[in-house]
Amino acid sequence: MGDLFANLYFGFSVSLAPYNLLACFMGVFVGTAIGVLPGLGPVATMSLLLPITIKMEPTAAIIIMAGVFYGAMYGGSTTSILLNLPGEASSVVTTLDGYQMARQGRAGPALAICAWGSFIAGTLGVLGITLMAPALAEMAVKIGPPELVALLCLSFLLVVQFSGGSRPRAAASALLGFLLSTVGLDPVESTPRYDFGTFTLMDGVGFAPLVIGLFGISEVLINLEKSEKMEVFKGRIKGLWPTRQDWRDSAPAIGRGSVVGFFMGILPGMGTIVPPFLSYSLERRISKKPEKFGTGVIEGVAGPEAANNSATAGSMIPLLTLGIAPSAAVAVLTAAFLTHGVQPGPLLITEHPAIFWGVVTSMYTGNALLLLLNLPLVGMWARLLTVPYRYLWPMILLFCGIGAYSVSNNPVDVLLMAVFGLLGYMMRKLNYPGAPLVLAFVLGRLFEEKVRQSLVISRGSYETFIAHPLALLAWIASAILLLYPFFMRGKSAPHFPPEEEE
Amino acid sequence: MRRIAPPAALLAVSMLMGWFAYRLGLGSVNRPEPGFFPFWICFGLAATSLYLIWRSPRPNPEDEATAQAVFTLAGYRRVLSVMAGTALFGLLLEVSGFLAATFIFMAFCWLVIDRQSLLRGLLISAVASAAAFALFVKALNVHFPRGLLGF
Repeated sequence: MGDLFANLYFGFSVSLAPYNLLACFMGVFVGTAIGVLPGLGPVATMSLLLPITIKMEPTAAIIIMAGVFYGAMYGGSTTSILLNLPGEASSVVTTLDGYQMARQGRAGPALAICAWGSFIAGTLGVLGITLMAPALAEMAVKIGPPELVALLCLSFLLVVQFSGGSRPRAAASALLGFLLSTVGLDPVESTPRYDFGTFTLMDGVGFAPLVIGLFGISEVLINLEKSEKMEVFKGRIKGLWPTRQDWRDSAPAIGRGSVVGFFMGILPGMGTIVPPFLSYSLERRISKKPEKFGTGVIEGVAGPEAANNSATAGSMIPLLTLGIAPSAAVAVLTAAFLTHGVQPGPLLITEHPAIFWGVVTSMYTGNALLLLLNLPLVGMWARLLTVPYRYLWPMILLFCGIGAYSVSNNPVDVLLMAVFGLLGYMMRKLNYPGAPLVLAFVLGRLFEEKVRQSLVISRGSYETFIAHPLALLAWIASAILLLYPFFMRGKSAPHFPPEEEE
Repeated sequence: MRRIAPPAALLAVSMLMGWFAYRLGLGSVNRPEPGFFPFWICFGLAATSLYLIWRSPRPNPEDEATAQAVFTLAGYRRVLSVMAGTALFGLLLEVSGFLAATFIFMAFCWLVIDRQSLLRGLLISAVASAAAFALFVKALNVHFPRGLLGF
């Protein structure tokens, strides 16, 4: 325990340094803004920031990127409540009761409980990381290539299972991501693959052009098709301090949402979309007045908002301890680590303690900053929504182009981004999820390297993959996950909305 | 057609890439070569595509819900215009430098795609380009090619 406090003290000494504090503020500020504005989500924004943060100190760069990620969760609820339009896919469920509360003149308490619920859940989630990550990282050091292959397989299956929509399409999307990850020099013998004689492809497909195209450009193309005019809430937002009754009604929901969100966030594929739905259905199931849900009950806002914020903290655990990204946004964070020459995973805590503890403690600070940004300044965020989209989209496209170009100062990356933008647009139109593609692309090289290492070490014996108890457990879980749809055929399975940016 | 075309395209891609991977060399199980991993990925992608093709005659509620909105002529035009504009930006960056490329790209977006009036389109393009130059080049010190115009 003494170690923990010493580490926290060390972490705060890093994250409260003026430069890192400014990075944290910038991150949560940009995160809130893009969360409020429908049309540019955290994945695309983090990808855009990737080249800009290259020149920064690694700790500050990761802090700013993480700030955008969890800041967007706060901002997403504002539009859900005031406009009935979720700023982020994770805030879809908040529209059900949040907007009804706003219609009844209770926009203030709804926004306030969102901010407080997010703050409490976010802080509890970071506390979870603080307590669990060091122990898990210590265990993860002992994990060899065959166990990692089994865990990665389980992760991919979870992503395919829970990415929303058709599973075969999600599987095709993931396999395409794997295929794209094989472009360039192979990770063991450095033989060029699929480079078609070009230097650009010999380096592999760039992460920034892929993600910016797939999420940023396609989002603009989809939004350009929507012609509906947004009706912005014009009334004065009153009662930004919840009443005692509001607190009494929402405190247990916030507690349950925090726990559900945190543990669901750890699982790959869950992202931040599924936990709010689970929290909402849990609240409705245990409520004494379930029929009131959807008419403006505060528990219906508090639980899901707590769940999506603690899920962001939970999703950092696999990254910090195993180096596995459980969602597309965390995949961008992985790329940020790698860009700065830092390998996320079990050795992060011992090799780069300043980055690990600095980033973890910055999340406490970031949650406090978000509370300050989101409560007193809610009117400013609401006004941001009055900027017409026709003035925004060319700027978003320009930022996308700059983001894709400046990673390696190569104009071909801008063309690649346009191609991936078209691919992303087609995938959205045809209901092929993008998150499995990005996750498979990011983890594909690691997966290939570990598969080949395992086979070489075991001299071609496939038994190596099931020889270790952890690997066996992961394969059993994978088998259950594969067979689950066949057993559930005919029964009603839970349905979550198709992913947008998760 | 809408349901069968994407998996058919994926099948074609997987077969082509699988052939390239095979030519790279698969090696053996105890010594996999560079083509080993991509070949089996292509095999998986081909199998999934075949399954999707086999399933395509069955109605899918997800597709029904979005069937109205898919690929209109106006949509095609807009998508191609945005793609052309973005590609133009990439091509012009090296030739004309950041500021001029940004101005041309912005003007293309606002005048050609968004159909703003000429004066307004040029004005906001100039303001947006200057703002982007100040932010990225001056404040964030991101390196861009100077181009023929020298900035």
